[in-house]
Amino acid sequence: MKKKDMTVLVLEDEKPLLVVIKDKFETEGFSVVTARAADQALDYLKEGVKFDAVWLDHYLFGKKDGLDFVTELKHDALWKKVPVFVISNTVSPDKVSEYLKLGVQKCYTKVDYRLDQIIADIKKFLESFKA
Amino acid sequence: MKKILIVDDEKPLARVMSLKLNSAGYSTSAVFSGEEALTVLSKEHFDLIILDLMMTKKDGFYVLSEVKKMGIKTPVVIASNLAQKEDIEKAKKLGVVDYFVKSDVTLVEMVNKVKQYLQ
Repeated sequence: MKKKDMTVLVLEDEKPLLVVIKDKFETEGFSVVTARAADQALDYLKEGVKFDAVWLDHYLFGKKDGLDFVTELKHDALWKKVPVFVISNTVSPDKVSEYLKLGVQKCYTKVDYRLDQIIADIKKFLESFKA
Repeated sequence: MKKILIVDDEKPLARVMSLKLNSAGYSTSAVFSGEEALTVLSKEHFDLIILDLMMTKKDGFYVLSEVKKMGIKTPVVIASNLAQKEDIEKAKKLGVVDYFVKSDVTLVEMVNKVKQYLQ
């Protein structure tokens, strides 16, 4: 599998974090598209930008949060199979359970994991998925 | 046919923007770094530049200041995830004709605005 062929959508409202995550994914050979609002990311999907995975923060710019994004994503026949990884600081157990019910791959709390570790997990998942 | 240069290091996005503008009847070139943009601009004329700001190494602000130094008068439109007032003001001081915060406009809206600039 060529990592260069894989694109990750990073949906994160905090600019400094967005820059670091993007840089780390690119260092690992991924293409990255960044968005700070759910509607922005949904617009990209609607317009034909293709993603192999989504890095999703719960809190986002705009009126919609991560749950709204996943709800829309998972109700679309074209996009529902895109794996979503939720990475957030403050997601309650209830929200985690909602995310998992909607079909996200995994929920991470930022304090418990290093970014490198999460990226390594996503990479491993995609490699096994595409193998 | 009017020529547009798209400068964005997010390749999938640059490609989709390019396709949309091609369908709207424009000729486009997409480059994926500030360095590439400056090389292309030193050789070719464009009618409009769509420039991202958050790029690794040579970012959009650097490109803007170099474009100014090179005496290139092509109008520049920013399309960026940077939404802070200071960034918008800084870009406007460097002479950009418009600033799109990517989270606030759809790609279709962006293309429509670009059409207005090229009329």
